[in-house]
Amino acid sequence: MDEWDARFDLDALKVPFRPRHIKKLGFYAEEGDSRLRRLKFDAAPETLCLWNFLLSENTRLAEDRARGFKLIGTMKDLGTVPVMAYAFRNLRAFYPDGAWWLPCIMESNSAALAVADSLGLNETLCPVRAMAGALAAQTDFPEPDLLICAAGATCDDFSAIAQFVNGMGHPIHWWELPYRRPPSEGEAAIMLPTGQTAPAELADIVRDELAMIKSLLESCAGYKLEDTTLSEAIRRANHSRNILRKIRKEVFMAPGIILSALELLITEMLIIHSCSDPDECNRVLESIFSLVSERKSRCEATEHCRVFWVNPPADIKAMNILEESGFRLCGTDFMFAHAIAPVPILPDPLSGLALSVLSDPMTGPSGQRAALIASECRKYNAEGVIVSRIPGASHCAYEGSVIKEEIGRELDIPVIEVEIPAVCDAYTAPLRNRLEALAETIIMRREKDK
Amino acid sequence: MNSCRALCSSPWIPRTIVSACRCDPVYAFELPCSPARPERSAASEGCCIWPRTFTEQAESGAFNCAVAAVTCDQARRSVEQWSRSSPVPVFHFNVPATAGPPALKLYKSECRRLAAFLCGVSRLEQPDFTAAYHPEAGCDSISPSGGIPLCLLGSHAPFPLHVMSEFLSEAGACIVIDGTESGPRFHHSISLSDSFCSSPLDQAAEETFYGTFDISTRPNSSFYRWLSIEIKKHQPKGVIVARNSWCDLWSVETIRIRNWLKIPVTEIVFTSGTLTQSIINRIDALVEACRQ
Repeated sequence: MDEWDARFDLDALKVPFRPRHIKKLGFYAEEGDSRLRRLKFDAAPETLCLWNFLLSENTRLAEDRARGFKLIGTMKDLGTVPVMAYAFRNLRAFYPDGAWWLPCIMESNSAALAVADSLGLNETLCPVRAMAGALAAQTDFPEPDLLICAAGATCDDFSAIAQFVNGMGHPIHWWELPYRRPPSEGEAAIMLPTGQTAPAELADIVRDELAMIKSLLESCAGYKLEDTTLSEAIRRANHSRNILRKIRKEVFMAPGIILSALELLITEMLIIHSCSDPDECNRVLESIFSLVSERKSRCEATEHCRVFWVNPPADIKAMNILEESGFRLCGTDFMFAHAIAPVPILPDPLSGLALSVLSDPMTGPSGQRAALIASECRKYNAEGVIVSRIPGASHCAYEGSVIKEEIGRELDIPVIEVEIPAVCDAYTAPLRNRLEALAETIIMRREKDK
Repeated sequence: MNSCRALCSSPWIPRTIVSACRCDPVYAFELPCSPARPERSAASEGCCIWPRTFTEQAESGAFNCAVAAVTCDQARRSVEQWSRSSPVPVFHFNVPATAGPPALKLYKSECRRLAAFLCGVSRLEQPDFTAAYHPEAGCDSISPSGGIPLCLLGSHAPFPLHVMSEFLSEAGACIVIDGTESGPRFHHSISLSDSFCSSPLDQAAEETFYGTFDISTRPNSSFYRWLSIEIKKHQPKGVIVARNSWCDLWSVETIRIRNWLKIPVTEIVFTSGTLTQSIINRIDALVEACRQ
């Protein structure tokens, strides 16, 4: 970070567009995001805009509120309610769940985790407990005007913490996110954007829920939303998703590393709610796409081991360690594949959004998620899979074995599970050992296959 | 007596519907303790023991099928995995997490699917509600016997209520509020006019849906309303929250219960199917605290 900041000269900086906020990363580190000092960055004007966009979110939310926007805190659905919110000219959306990265980004500077601990929400729970701490202490993000939370096929610790937040006195509108069971024989089924099928009845139920959410958003915004306006918002969201899909394809298929794993993680994370500003999000994504396209044109092949990464790491530094251990990303599933796939454009926009909701890989059988991962591994020639376990997360105790079994059956490539805590510094050596052992396995297999 | 026996994991599965399908419902909480064999589990770190105990019970040879009501992520994933290799047919019953009209629609849909599954097991063309079980209003599962009055909360305990009752009686206490699956928070009989429901199945579904007060529902304020009424009525001196190890839902709810109540709350955590010494010690300490 210091090296990058030393090169920073705002007047000479050739950024692809003028972002709302552009500062040295040291500014954010001084403000409390101290983990930045321990990270290695893919230093380019485009990625500087990316980091500024991410790190300035809370500031932008406060500015938007001052300009008259209402803030919608949307929880757990990871990609759908924000699309609806941005159809309104005076709403902004963000994910309070994003507080799960506060213990990482802010290290010990974050009061959120200490407050969560004082409330009794201890480390047996996933780092998303920081969300409760942040809301209790009223730090880290502005109090939203409306909280909307998906419940049902979600992880237990999040569900428990969200209910705890509700019990603290924060009104929440809950909506049913049903388990995506396979259709029964003879039952009417529908095709989803990610390729799976679901009972048509479930799509109707989710559509009813989204209709209620639309009414709530209309009350918050102060006016009724036309279907044509919502359809237009879906098209804009699909445009962003399309750019991200192109970025991923370029990165995964390049002969070498054209965007570092850390920056790819951040780029992908933008898509779930456009980091509270859809217009600037598009500009950031377009600039990253230009960057990777240009780099790909002059990229030479490298010997990095090609790996598929499953689940977002609780400590983003793990992405640096991954590359230092001889890997490059050739596939990712950060738990929101449905936010990357396009929302179906249907005459009834809410029905299209309902199909998007049901595509969430986390709401269906683990075997289906594993099959999608296997398919992507095949497409991008992955040589191994890393399943990142999130400390305390209920799904991680079960998914790893299902993914291993499926990958083993379909592809016969090595799969490892690693648990990555919110700050992995004390765990760096064993993590590197495991990654390096995987790299050695992959290299041995390459030799054997020659 | 029907020839089919269905092991049901929780009273979220309406007894009326199961018996209308000519199956005898046996609820897991009614069964004696079945200690889980550790080698059954692929991963015990982070995994609640309930799936293992339920699996053991279902595969004991005593049941024709199993109905697993899923109210949490762990249950959902473990049932998904187990049902692929289970020697008995398993029905994965998805309990809605919310309480609005779409959730009721989902619940009724699950009840219809359940009926179709059970009719398949019992080789019935369609459910017969004329001879089915009908819940009685206000049935209580406990008979307080004197001693320090306590409230017992929890779900999916690895052994039936009477085991806890007997132990507490020896410790000089008794359960005056049963907040487990065997108790009234799952058996509230709601009087529904027939004209509101299109069928007996829908009626049975609505009775269970509206008459169940569970911590897994979002919001779970109905559970606290029920508990508040019961506490005023029965005046317990203390509360035991009995949960399984790695159960996030009850773990976090215990914090809220403790913050909300002005009486001592003790949490006991099951890591196996037995009352361990540490659990016994905690209960003894609670009883002692309540005496003072």
